[in-house]
Amino acid sequence: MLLHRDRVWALIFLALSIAYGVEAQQIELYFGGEDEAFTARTFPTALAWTGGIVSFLLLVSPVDPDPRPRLREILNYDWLRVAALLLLMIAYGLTIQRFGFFLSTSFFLLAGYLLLGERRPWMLFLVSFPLVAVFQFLLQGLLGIYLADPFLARLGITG
Amino acid sequence: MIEGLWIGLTTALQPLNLLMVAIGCFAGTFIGMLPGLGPISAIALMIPVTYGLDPAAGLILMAGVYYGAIFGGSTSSILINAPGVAGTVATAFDGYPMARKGFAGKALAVAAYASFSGGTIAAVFLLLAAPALASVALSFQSPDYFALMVLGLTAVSAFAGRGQFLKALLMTVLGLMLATVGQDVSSDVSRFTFGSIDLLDGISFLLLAMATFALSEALMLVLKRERPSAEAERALRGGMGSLRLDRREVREIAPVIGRSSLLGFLIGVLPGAGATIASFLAYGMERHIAPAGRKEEFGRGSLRGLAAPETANNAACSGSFVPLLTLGIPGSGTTAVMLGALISFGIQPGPRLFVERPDVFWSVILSMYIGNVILLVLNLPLIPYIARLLALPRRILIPLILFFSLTGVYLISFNTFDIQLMVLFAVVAVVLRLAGFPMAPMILAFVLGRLMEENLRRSLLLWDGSLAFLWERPITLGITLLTLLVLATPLIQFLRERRNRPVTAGKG
Repeated sequence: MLLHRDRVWALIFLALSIAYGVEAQQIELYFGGEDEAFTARTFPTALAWTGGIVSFLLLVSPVDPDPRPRLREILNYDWLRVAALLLLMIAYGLTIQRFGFFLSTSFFLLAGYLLLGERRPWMLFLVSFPLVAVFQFLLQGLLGIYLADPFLARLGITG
Repeated sequence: MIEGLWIGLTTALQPLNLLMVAIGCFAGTFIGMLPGLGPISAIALMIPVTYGLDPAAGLILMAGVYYGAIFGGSTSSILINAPGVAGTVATAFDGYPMARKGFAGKALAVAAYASFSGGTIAAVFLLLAAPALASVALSFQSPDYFALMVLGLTAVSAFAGRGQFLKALLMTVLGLMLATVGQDVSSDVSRFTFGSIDLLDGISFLLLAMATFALSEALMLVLKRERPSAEAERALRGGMGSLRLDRREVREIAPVIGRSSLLGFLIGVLPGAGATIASFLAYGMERHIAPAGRKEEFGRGSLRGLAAPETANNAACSGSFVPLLTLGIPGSGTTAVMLGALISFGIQPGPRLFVERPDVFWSVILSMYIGNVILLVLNLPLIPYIARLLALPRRILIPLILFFSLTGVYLISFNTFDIQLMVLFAVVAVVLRLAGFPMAPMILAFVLGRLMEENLRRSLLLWDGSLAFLWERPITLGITLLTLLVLATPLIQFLRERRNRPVTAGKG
């Protein structure tokens, strides 16, 4: 018999609580710290126990008929597009310092619009490069937040 | 109190702060109108903006966003039957049928008047209740605070919904676990950093709030292929109709507004309850006490059915500020995000706030009232135009939300590790949302985590490692007993349902 989804999640949280509890016991203490009423381990240990007990209660509690979306419905969701957006965000994080805020953010937005189905060239352009330029001007020019931007520095626009 | 009120009034009426309320209301209305994005996301998106402001202005902006988001949620509930926030689900019950009958303008006007009246009455209650509670809270000690935080977190889980109690408790524990990542405040020992320097300072509250709300909510919209903009276009083509109410209609909703304001405020003060519970309770109460002939109107476009939840959810918003401002303990996910923002301003809300920063304390309370006026005077006439934003295509909006979320966090730390961590948390949040785990208890626990550990540390040191601090002081004992009662409520409910089940089955 297949496990009910809530029970699977209970097992995941139980494993997480055990792992967290084990890791909590590895927290360094000062010499003689074990005898103190409260150490850096006390709160995490209490949390590990609480997490374990609640997970166990979820594991053994009777399951209600599930009102949440069924597995087939979940599989039909647009996972591919979400995965592409996640990759895009990771790429944005990897490139923002190398290529600078202006270029990486503009391309991030451009790729995001394209991924979600926008095809009008004027719209794609308007809400990416000019928008980021205005945003960056507001940040640097008005709010005084310095953004290191090798691309704009090479063009002589920023210092 | 009069002096405090005067300080608050002069602070709240400064041109910059008035501008902040107005911007907050507009931004909140817009974000709250987008189905899937709630007030927590709206406030989280505003936090990076508030870092450049002084604390009073920042908090005023966030309070405006909060009100605006609730009002915006009502607009999408009424026009396209897609509540932007859970607190406005009950608004759709009668608001949407009214819009379908061609009275969208009237429904929006009732929502605005009800929100305004509920917010105004509740602001008066807040004005009276907050200082009184703050002076009582000045006598609170660490054990009381610890017990109060446990009560708050337990209550949030207990109110999470039927069959959700254990899941909400697990999310609470997860939030507390995440709060322990980084250097321990008292001993400087690093915990759960796995050797990463980036984790030494702990996980940023803003990062977690943005990832688990703004980012994950935007990704859920893509995931579920939701396209409410088509429905919005249809609603907008149909026109709004008149925004005016006649005398009979005003007389009909006036007592409803009075009752729902009181109920909403009281529910809002309770930790864990909030706009959603308040709106459903007010709707249920009005349907229950309606005269026999008017009961059938509920669900088909009843003015009472629309005014009750709208009043109650706004009154509950004001009520939820009572525990935040007086005890420093947020009662909801939204006020938890505000607490996080306040702490990053270097302000610790609590009874001392009332004494030490009366400008912040009173200006927030008064700006709530000003926010209500702005929502009524500016937003209502502009709503047909603001509503056009609902038809803005998702393919443009979602990348912009992702952009504001990512850069909002990056511009604080300038650390690209934060962007990768956000993506990771967003993925986990999406999966947990699909599995039916609520996010609000997690963020609330995360915000309270360090405070809770600190108060537990002080209590255990004072009581020599004994847990007797939980019952030796009468105040702590009272709070502990209340926590046990809250913990027992879902169990009692479960046992009662189980006892009744065979009877129901027999009938069927």
